[in-house]
Amino acid sequence: MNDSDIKQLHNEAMDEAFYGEIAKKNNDFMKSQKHFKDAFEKEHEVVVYAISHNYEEPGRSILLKSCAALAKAINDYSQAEKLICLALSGNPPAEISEELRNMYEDVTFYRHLQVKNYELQPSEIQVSMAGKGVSYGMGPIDSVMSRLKNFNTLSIRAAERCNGIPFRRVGKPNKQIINFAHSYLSVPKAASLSFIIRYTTPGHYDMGREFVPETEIIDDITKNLSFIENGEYSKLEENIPEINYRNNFISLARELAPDGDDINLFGITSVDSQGNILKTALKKTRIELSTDIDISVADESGESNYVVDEISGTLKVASDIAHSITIISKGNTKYSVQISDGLSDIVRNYFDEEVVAKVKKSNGNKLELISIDPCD
Amino acid sequence: MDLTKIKKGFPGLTANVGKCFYDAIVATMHRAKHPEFVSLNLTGDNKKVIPLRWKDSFNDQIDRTFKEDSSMIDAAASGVSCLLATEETDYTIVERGYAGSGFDYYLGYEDEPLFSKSARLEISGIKKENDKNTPEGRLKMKLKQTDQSDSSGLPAYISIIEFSKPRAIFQKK
Repeated sequence: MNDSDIKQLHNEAMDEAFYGEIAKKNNDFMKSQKHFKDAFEKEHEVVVYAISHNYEEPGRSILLKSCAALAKAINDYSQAEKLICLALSGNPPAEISEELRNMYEDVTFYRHLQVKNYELQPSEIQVSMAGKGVSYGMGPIDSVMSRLKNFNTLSIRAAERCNGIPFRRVGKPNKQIINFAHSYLSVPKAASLSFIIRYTTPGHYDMGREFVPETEIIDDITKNLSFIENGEYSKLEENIPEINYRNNFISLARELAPDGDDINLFGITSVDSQGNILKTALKKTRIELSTDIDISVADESGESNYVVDEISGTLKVASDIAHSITIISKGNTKYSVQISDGLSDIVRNYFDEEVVAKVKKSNGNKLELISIDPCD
Repeated sequence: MDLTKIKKGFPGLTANVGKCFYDAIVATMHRAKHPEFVSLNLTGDNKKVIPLRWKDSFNDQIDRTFKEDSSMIDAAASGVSCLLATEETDYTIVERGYAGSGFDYYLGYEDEPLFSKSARLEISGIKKENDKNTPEGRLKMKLKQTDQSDSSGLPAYISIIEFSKPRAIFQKK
């Protein structure tokens, strides 16, 4: 074999991967796995040749990364892990190193999603986080606590929606929901950083037969988070037809999403009605989710009759009655921004903080909030 | 720029995949009701108008293959970007690496070993821009992602193709 044969073999591997991707998009799992397996075997040969012939950077790490991605595609996480480590042991360019580290966290995250030394019950969810800021059993307080709090809000909203309760604009949830939300949090479990949340009602309280069981609510959350991770917004719309609930879910999912820095992965593990363990990872960063959502909203609405703008400043005053917030810019300009019902839970996270708000400017210069992010 | 050239592929991109990219270009251009000669407004490192040539061979098979917009636009943007990159840079070929849910594209030289002296080609496609989804917005996003990863060492080019009133941004990162 020579360099020319290796180029040819690499091309064949990439063609197989290309057909694998097409089959995957057509939901033909068996066919896609066959193509990915063939692609992996060919690319592995290429990698062995490249290493034994001392290929220089960036070629060495690009080929190893490509082969690791194919190993991951056929669920051979152990092989993927070895290839990534081999790539990192060279001297890859900064971008490739970063991608390799992200891929490493990705392949090992599924291990973190395994529930260790504990039998997860149908009324429980394991929430896991991993990333540069997370060490074995420890994590940054702000990033971890805010995600747990937002996950709890998301669970409450899911319980209300699953029980047919109209979207609550203000006030507290009703007594049934408060009792559902009477959840318990375990001590952190070392893995990446995991917690078990148990949804349980106080012993003396009868939820009533008509109340949708917590297992269905957990299934609903799991399904909707995976729609968001896969960019399947039409399926999300089918599952959450009411726009306020849908916007609320999307916005809370953005709050849970990795920041790409301290937290690179957020995942939940649950048990379905057949006792199968379901592992759902949210790997897209907040920024990537925002792009997906913008595109999805743009595609839905087609031609728009409003302008989108960004406002930076401190979120100072909020009025539940007028359903609006005020953002004061550094130049002391006050912007009054209307918030739709679905976004009220998210706005509360940012009181008195520096934010960047994406707003719709419609006729009459009325500003309406699309999304809100903390300032970098 | 003759878009049919992509059918021949490159040394790092086989004709089979080149043909698939071309079919996606045909589907995109046909559905946008573009004539077989249409202008592409290029901005970024160079500003110019590039005449695009393609043959409207749209048929049932292409229609069935590209029922879903996002795959069609991804493949069409990849095809146009590969051609644009070899015209707008001194690199001569395009190579691919698998990235998990798609491909990374790299520019290289024909006589060099795989991916040596490579530059990254980051591709993005838009079917029809609107206020919330513009090539400039995508560019900003890609540049922001670079800031985050504190890039160095690997040169990169960004290619964003908009198909409704064909325009492109092509620039070095």
